Amino acid sequence: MLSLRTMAFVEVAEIVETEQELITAFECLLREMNITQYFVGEVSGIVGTNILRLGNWNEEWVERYIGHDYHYVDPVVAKARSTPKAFAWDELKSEGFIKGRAKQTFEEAGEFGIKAGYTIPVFQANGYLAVASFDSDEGVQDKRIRAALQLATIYFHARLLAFRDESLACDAQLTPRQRECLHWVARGKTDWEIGEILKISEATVHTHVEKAKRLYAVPTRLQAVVEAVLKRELRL
Amino acid sequence: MLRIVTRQNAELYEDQLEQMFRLRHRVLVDIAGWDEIRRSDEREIDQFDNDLTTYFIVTDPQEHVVGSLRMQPTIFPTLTSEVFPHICDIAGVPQAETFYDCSRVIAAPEVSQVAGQPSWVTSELHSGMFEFGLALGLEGLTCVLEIKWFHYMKRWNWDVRPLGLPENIDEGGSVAACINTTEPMLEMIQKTRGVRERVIHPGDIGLIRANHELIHSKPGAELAA
Repeated sequence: MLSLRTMAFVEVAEIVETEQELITAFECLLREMNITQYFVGEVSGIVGTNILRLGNWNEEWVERYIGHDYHYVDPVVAKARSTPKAFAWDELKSEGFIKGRAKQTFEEAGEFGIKAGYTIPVFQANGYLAVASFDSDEGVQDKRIRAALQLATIYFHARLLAFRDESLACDAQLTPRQRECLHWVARGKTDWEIGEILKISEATVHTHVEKAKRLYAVPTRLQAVVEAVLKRELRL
Repeated sequence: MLRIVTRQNAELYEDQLEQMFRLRHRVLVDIAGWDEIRRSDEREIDQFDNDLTTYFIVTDPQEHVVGSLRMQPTIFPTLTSEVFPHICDIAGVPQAETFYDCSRVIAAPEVSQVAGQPSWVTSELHSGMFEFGLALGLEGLTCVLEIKWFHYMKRWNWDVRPLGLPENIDEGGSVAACINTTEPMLEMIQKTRGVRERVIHPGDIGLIRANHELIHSKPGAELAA
């Protein structure tokens, strides 16, 4: 039943035409799993119009969280950075993630009724960290529900980003080689050094970097790096 | 450079095959930690490395093997149908002439750079998967993959669907999936990955087709062999 319901969501997620329809379908599935609260989005401190953050997490808590840069000390974020695997928050205690300011953050979340969370680290193609966190009265214990959440989250997140990408309408894209070269340019390497690292010629490196500059229509190598970071094609 | 190796030309590529088995052991056992397939000779080989297997082997300009994958015809037992049928409980395992099972997709750690941003090796393998599917007129490729790869594929807008709920979520998770190999998908992959031309040589396409014909014309005889 649960698997059929999840597969139904997967199919719906593929065909919905608006973000709102997608959110409604996702929340409907969560209700059937007795998930009361959820948050899906980026947890880094970046601010901007295109930052993905949504859910029905207590608003006051989210504001405080962002305003106070809690992501720096949040044990859930620390754990999510260290593993691609999903985890329940009660595991954090025994693993030594809850200490100092982390402990305080955790306790404050508890005051807002967020306690027995379950978090799935979400991969973003650009390397930025996002998470999907869920909470329910009795905790998310059931293995089948965890599996279903994992699959549903992938579809939810991927489709959400697709909707956002469409609105960004950014079609300039680096090739993998150009990205690799910029990655090293950003670390202060010369064309010759990059050539040694990537085992290609200095001239080829130069061409890749020049093409990246042309792609973004900028005059310098450094500006190309900056553009790539802003367009989320490169992570520093 | 991507080469196709089947039992017809395996003799020519003994060195590359050997390097591939060692690379698989290094990537899957030493790095990914799949201890259950550890072997003392440090060559990762199982029952799905057989006469029916088609290998994609990627080499760097110095002829070092830096990536590989393998394809099995689904009218015979495959990794998905034999080892993972329990995670295909919703859609079932497609088993027909028009499906191949793809497994052991790996790239050497030296060439992989950033999570979610495929290296040139992975890009060639991915492009090759779609070229292979199109060359044989396949409907799709079945595979069992880590959740994170499934997630990447969705983000890359691949036409991929799960065959059931994932398992072992708390250990990273595996999901069985079917990837549809259509022409627009190949075009999209080549465009977004900067792959400018077909990675499978036309001569190798001939080999793939001939091998496919042979396997599917007399399946009984093949099984006996």
